[in-house]
Amino acid sequence: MSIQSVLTNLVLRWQFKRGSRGPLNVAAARHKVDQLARRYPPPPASVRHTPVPADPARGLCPAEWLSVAAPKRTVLYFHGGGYFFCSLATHRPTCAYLARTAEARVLSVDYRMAPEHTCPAAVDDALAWWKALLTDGTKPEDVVFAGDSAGGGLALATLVAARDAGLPLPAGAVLFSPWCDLSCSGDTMQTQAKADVMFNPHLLPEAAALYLAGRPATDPLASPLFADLQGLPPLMIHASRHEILLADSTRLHDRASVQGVRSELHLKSRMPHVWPTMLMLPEARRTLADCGRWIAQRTEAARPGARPLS
Amino acid sequence: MKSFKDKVAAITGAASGMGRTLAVELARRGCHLALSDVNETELVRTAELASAHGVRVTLRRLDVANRADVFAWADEVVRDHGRVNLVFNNAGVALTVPVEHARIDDFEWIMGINFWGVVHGTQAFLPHLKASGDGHVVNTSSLFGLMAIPTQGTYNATKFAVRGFTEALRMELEMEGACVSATCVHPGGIATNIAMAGKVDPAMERLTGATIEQHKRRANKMISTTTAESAALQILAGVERNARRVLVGPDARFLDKLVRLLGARYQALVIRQMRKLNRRKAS
Repeated sequence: MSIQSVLTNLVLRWQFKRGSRGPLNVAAARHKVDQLARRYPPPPASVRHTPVPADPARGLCPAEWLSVAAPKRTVLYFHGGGYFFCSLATHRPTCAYLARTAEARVLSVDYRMAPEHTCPAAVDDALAWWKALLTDGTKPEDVVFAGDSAGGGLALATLVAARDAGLPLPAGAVLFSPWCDLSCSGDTMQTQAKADVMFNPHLLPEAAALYLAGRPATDPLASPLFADLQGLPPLMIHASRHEILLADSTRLHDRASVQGVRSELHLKSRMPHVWPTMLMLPEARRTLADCGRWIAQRTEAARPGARPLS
Repeated sequence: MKSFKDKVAAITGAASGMGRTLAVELARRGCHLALSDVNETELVRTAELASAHGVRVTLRRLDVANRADVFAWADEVVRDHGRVNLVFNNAGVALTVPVEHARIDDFEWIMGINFWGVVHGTQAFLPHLKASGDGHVVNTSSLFGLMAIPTQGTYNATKFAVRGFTEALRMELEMEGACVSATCVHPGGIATNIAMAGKVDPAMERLTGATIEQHKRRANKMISTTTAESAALQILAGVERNARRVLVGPDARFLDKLVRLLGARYQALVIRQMRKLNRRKAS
């Protein structure tokens, strides 16, 4: 565990966890992360940043490309934020880093969020972008989905929705601490409540209620943990052993494995929720490098004529 | 590994001691089992105890010193269970003999089981653990893999070797970012049949005047600090928190600290204790 992660844990515990002891405040949370994102440096010169405005004619929400000069593959990225906060800007550095490690062009999707737009608006937006990529000639075997937290859940829900719609599926999905059970029934919600440096457990059901807007929390579009996972492409899951959402990752891995989906579970101790997105941590940079390699391997392996991985 | 439910674990030396209690405890937590041992009769008994918890249990008579057999077993486990998440390289034997009198065939016998058995088990299962997406190698060293004791030179050699091998493996897996981890277990005195089933060289009779049987009984009395059931719980807790090193029992925890505090000078203390013990026995 690096000195950076020790310090980050302390700051998160003081700023994030202590500051969110009361009821959920959507406006305050959005304001805080937007202020923070303003201070992020722009993407490095080797990564081109291209905003894409919404295209109501094709039903597309806004998005942005972060691409290396000669991308070999595509990553469709969904940012986290409990389906109600965070934005393209907050996750731009992470997407730019992933673009470099995966030698890819990353499309980060600005899907509609709660409380203004409720489930399944986010899944509709994600699926619309997947269809658009396919229509524009992107080969599904050259694409990997990725997402963190709610974005990880959204990536998984989009895989399920795409399979059910009979669309081709990408070569895999990389999920950082995915939030895939909005009923918050994982045992680590209680057992890791003290150890988690970011979340007070009471906030998650509140955020879930905003997004669900009366839908059952076990609806597979909102909580893809409960979906039929058969036929999904390989998953690479990263989570912390000390976060309340740990059980979402472990249960997803176990369910996927039992249903014949190739899944890798990578756990690290004493790290904050979605730590791979925190680029100041050496652990995050290492993990994003691992993810880049995995994405490259998956897309190579999925190409027609490629030897199947043992 | 956070939970053992619906995982698949392979355990060597599962017919008795910690192998058996690990099997039963894992079964209680819903983990499917592939068990092996040279002693088939007792292995069947372990399987009965474990399958009472409703998990799938497969058995194989196995000498862990035989590399080809261990690799064949690993393939068989994946064929039977579809995957394998954990391997407990637990099988081990004891040999009491001063270094000067250690016969090479005895030395090769204990090396074959305690050290090469761990190597074969690790290498045979590692690709399958990686394929499972969530794997763990659990290798059993000993308190005597942290400190040496007179008459245990051969045993010490096997257990120090397991420790070095496992710690290197753990670091390699971490650097690689693999979805597999490794834990080295150092039990202190655990009430198992290791002393009674182990070998005491006839040279010990000449050197101390006590019979082989007396030696075994004395050793057996000394290792009853921790029960095998408690040892299994401590080992599994270590795997759950992904510990690099698990010290089992208060004796292991205390002596580990002492050795680290004193450095190589712990040996003087051991000599003094051994002399005191021998005088007490003589009188």
